[in-house]
Amino acid sequence: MTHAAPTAAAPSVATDDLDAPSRTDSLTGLLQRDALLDALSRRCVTGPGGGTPFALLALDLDRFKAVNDTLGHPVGDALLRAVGRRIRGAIRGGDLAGRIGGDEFAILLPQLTAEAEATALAARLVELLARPFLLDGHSVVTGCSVGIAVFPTDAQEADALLRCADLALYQAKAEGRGDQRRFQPVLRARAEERRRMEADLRAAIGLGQFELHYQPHVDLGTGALAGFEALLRWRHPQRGLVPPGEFVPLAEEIGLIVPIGEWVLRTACREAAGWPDASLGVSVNVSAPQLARRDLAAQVRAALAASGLAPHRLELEVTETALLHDASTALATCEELRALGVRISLDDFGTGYSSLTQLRSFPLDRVKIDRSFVSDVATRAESAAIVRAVAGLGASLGLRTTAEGVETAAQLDQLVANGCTDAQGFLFSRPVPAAEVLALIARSKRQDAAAQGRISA
Amino acid sequence: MSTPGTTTPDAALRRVIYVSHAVADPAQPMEAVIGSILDAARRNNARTGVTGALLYSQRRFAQVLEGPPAAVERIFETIQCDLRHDHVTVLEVSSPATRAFGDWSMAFAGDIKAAPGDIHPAAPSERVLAILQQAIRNTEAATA
Ligand SMILES: Cc1cc2nc3c(=O)[nH]c(=O)nc-3n(C[C@H](O)[C@H](O)[C@H](O)COP(=O)(O)O)c2cc1C
Repeated sequence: MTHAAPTAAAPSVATDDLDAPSRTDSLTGLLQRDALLDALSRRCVTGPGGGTPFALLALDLDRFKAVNDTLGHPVGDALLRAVGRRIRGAIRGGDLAGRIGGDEFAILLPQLTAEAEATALAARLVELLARPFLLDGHSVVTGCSVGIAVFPTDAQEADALLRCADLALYQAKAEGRGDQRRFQPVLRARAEERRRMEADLRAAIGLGQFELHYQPHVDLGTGALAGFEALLRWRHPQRGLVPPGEFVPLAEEIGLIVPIGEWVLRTACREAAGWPDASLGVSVNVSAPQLARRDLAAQVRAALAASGLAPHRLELEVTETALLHDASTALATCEELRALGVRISLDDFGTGYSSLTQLRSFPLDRVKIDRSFVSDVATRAESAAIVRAVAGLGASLGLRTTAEGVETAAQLDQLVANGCTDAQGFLFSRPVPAAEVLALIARSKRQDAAAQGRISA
Repeated sequence: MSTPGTTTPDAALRRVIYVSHAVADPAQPMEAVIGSILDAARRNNARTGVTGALLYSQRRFAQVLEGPPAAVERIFETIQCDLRHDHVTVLEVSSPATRAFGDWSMAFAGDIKAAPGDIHPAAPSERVLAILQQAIRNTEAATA
């Protein structure tokens, strides 16, 4: 049948024996959550043959919140009503559809002879709900994502089966929305792993599992050690040393990045205050959510006071995304920080879309050129030209330019030739644990002395 | 012009213009499909005060629907659920003062022989007709 899908006279959803009209959702005309879950539980019976297979679809609108926020709740409700109608029009007689949350729906396909039927219905729903709705004089396009779980293959209990369908739905959403995904055991394993990681991460500050490693940067004018960048590491009892790339995104997602950032700030100030050379600076990365908060300057002031570190020795590294996300708050915060005597540097420069001229309104002291330009500065003329342009513009704006990720002497020569003032990277040293910083400082002092000796000799 | 608060159902007009792709069905020649669409339109639209025009060319539809807002929204929703077309894109939703196609429950023009009622462009409809024709031309290149 490729003819018109039934609409107004759609097959009723109330085909189940126990579905009284009182158990339908008044807005959409679909089953209420409880009614759908009851129907689901009733079908989750495993017999000697394993039970009669059926499929469960979890469906979620892709842009419902945006519609509600921009066009208001009456239009949002009208959308849900129309979605209910389209779902009723798309399902077959015998299928049960319910609204199980704000814009979440579930559909039970009790007579499943082949899994392909569930996939076909999911495809039909994705297609139909992606078509425009005309609501109160607005053309609204929302779209949906669908997750599919099958009884008894994926789970034997109602709750577990719904979770499977939900996990498949999240996967569909994570992979770009507007499509369907079938549940796979790996999704459960991944969700379980993530849940464990999240619990561990929440406990990590309290258990003292975070530590800072320090990577030196060198003043290319004098060749002397200029300071260290503090880098966060997580020493997990089972996983070992976890690099930031594996936990910072999760920490951002669950709102832990602000307290972790504050810990980094306090710890870096305290440890730097203990270094024997009071000319050495310490730089600390500040995340976008930290910069967006009004109390960052107060936190910095407290960290300086508690450690006794001189403000000019502390440098905060921010990214252009963080600066431009909420530019007016970021600007106010940067100015407060500057007033404290703290320096500000722009991290990973070149990876975003802004130009230095655009960022000129921020009170910066330094630009750090992203490692991607540094890695081929000696082999690609283009990268060398970018380094030269940034260093030149930086100099005219009174900024220092630090090259990140320097690994070879050839790169270093090019960086010096193109005007960088500072450098950091494996060529000088890897990031080292706090306990090794003192040795590094001592070694660099001896080298300086030797160099001085040669010059005066 | 109606003053706010005193709008009578007849005074409020809604117009919607969209384009879509015809879905090919080997069992159904396009003439028959369009014939059945126009039959339904002429049967249903007049009853609820909806008028308009349908253009078909190069496997693309372009349609304008005009009438009382609720009736237009209802018919539009029915048409959305029709699997004989897909890739629906709304080009205009407006509240015009007068109808461009007041004389036809559903006028038709196309590169295909269909039922009588072919459009004889009247002055007010020319602009809308031009939009429909242009819309079909614009989308032709998109998915050949
Ligand atoms: C491009 C296109 C335009 C359509 N236009 C109309 C229309 O203006 N009015 C209408 O009633 N049906 C229209 N239809 C048909 C409807 O989708 C639906 O099949 C019809 O309203 C069912 O009518 P019935 O319930 O009287 O059989 C159109 C379908 C397509 C594919």
